Amino acid sequence: MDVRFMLKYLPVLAEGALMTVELTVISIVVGSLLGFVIALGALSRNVVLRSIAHFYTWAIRGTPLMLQLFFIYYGLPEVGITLSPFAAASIGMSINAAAYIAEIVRGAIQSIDKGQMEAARSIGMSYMQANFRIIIPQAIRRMIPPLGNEFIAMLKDSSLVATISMVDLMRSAQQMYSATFRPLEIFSAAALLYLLLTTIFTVTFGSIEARLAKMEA
Amino acid sequence: MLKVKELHKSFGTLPVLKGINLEVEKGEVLVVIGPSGSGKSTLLRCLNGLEIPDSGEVYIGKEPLGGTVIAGSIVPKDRILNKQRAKIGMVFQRFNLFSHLTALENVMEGLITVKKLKRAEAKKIALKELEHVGLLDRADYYPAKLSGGQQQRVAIARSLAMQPDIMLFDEPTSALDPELVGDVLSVMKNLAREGMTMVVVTHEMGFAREVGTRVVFMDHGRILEEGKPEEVFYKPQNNRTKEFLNKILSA
Repeated sequence: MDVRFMLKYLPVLAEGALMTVELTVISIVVGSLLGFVIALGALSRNVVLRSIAHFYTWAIRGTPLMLQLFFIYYGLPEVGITLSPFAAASIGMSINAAAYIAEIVRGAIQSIDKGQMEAARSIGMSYMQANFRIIIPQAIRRMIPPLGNEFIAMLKDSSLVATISMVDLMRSAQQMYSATFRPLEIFSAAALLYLLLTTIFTVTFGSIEARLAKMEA
Repeated sequence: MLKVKELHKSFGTLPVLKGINLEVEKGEVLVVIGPSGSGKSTLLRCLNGLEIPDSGEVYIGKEPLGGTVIAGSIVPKDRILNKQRAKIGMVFQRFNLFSHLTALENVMEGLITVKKLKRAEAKKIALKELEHVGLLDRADYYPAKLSGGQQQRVAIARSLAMQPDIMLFDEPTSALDPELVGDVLSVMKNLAREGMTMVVVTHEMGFAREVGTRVVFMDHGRILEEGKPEEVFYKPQNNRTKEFLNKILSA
């Protein structure tokens, strides 16, 4: 393995890495918002909302992300919806992430002791007030560790968008490998970049957790 | 002040309350005693709508709990229940302090969200109530850093801050280490002395005798005996009451 060769190609791969970051950030933001809404649906007292939410998580978690990407990118044009690779990748990853995030949010909210809701209602808070002032703030603390895991998984799973002709970190590595036939150097460089990105996530979430741990025992 | 009429409640097929009738006058300290599983906690939870009875009525003053009377029947309204709950303090066995808020913030919470007071004003009232329960020096502590007895006193302050007309206590000392029980009881005794109307479910017979104006003995979902503490404790009429008191007082 030629380390100098590897270092030389790092900056070229960095461009693909930037696309990976962009996609991951978009799907974290959109997926979290959507996931939160779906979680509230799953916890709702309304049967219709609950059924929709359950169907969503069941369908999305029960099929592979790659299939979902193919469905959006290759399937939807059949019904007149043609998306750019970037749009298809962002939408596919967001929809996929939302299902997993919804389960994390739902689990965290359900893990809050029933007494918290009862105490809130007892001082006259409405169901909504109790949820938004008491239950959800406590649940958010419990979501942090599993969300950290989920975001790291998303970053790595984003490599699947290479299959719908997005030029992300994984795809750039493949292209450079075809051009240079130096797989060991190229893929090592790509691995280093992935590690760098996931480490940033781990450290960030670790420090958020540590800060919150000071408040609660 | 508070009136309960023919209250029935079952959990699944298990009947827990089998026709409870009860009245609480202003300034009374009603102590509810009875073996576990007798339905006393469920009764208390029906008094602020945490449990919805299968049949029967609860009146707060002249108003039915959780609704308005339209054409002779009670129509449930969440907003009315919320308003009434703000006037009914509830103290739980397991304290249920909001764990993400400090002691002070716990007491301020209802003042801000329910009473819509300004922060500064809420803080002033909350500090006064914390002083009332002797915990001014713990204002900035999170619940996890407080002892059980301290948590329970903060919980009492949280209820008092709402200026309730009546306070409900659901076995407030049962989850406490024995040496912490006294502090909570003395706060409750002070409250009684100040004229607060109270309904207390407890196993603290000393408290019942000393502070209670009336004692109710419950078993198997029914009120079996009712009277002044000295009557119920020293001259119980019902055999089940005698049995229960013998067991409790000889322990």
